[in-house]
Amino acid sequence: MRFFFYIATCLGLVVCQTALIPRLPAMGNFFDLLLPLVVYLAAFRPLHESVPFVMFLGILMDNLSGGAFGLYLTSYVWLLIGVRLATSVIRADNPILLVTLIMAGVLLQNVIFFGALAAAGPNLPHPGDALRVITEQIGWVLLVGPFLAVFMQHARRFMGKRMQRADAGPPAAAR
Amino acid sequence: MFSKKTVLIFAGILLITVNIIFLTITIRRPPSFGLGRVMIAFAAPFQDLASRAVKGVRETWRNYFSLVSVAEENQRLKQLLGQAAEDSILQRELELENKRLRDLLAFQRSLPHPAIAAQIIAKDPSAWFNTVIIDKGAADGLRKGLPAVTSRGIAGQVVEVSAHQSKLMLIIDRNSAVDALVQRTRARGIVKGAERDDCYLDYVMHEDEMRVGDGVVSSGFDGVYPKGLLIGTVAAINFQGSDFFKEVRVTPSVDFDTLEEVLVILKPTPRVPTDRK
Repeated sequence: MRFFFYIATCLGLVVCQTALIPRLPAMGNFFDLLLPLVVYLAAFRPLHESVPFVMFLGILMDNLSGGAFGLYLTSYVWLLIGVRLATSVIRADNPILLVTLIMAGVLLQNVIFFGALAAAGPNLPHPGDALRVITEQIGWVLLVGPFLAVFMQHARRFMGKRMQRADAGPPAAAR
Repeated sequence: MFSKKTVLIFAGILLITVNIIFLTITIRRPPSFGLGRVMIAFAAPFQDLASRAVKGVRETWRNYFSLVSVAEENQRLKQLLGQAAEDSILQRELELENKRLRDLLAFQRSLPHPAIAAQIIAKDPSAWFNTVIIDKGAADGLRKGLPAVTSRGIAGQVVEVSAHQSKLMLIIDRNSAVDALVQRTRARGIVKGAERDDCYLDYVMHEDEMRVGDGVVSSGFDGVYPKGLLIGTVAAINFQGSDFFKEVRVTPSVDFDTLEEVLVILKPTPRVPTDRK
């Protein structure tokens, strides 16, 4: 059930990112909307739940993108590892930390993409253009990130309650 | 002298008589002194106030119901207006789509092979790559390597095919390469994707003559794009005396920001050589 929820969320975000946002003016360089989902999974969900879904996300995005297969997968997996490490020493409850983690994810993803482009051949993006793209994406994170962080905290509480209810089992009347 | 009872009867008869006489006089000739005017002047403002209040209440009551019906009508008209605006936008969209498709159809007739129109349904999730997803796939006869064009020029080529959708790599993608010719001078090069929706014409020999504004067309040598399709125009030429190749920037003729439909050219499948004997 939980995985269906994640898949529905993921599909919604992918549709937003590929079919809606590109049609909006001045939003051509919006950041990858699945990064906050990866941060959420890494920060708040257990490994056995987050790892398979992050892999699924990576494979899905790699298939939709024109880049080399594995770029998204790599960025998501490394973000997962990074966030797990970060949240093992810092509490992830803080919205500022969540926004910082998303921002780190955006930077990491761009570094991986840029590295892949550099490795692929001499046809590298102009540094000025690359900087503009990354700056725009960071700007969007700063603008949208706090809302996403608050949403993540709500989602965490909601999922926590559901888990408690699931652990408690069905109500007495139903037994 | 008289009893009290007699006095009361007498007073009663006198009062009635005086009253009858007074009434007889006033009926025949109304009194002309100014008391009436004073009384009217005194009472009229209050009457007027009361009358206005009643009228006001009555009108408010009536207007309230009227307003309710007007508000309902307003709501209904607003809905109708919204619907009309929506219809108008839809009609405008259909008109524009119709025009684009007519252009594509006219262009399709000029192509050497049959072609199928496809709509772009999604764009690349990454800012670093330029691919799109189109709504036609293997079931429609598409396969990897087929070229996609518009009436304004080359759009890209199919790089991945699923049953009902395909991925199209646009010519502005860094991984794209199109064998091209400068139309006027026949100088040859490879058009490669770059940033900012631009392309570069690489491997143009330094002695090849060209100028800004020259058209760049497909040469047909790459085996993907038919010969003679417009790619774009030369936007800038950088060349230093010691360089072996010229650096030529090409502005694509297709506006990829507003691209919505493409024609995928269904070239015949290249014949695969059978086992040599």
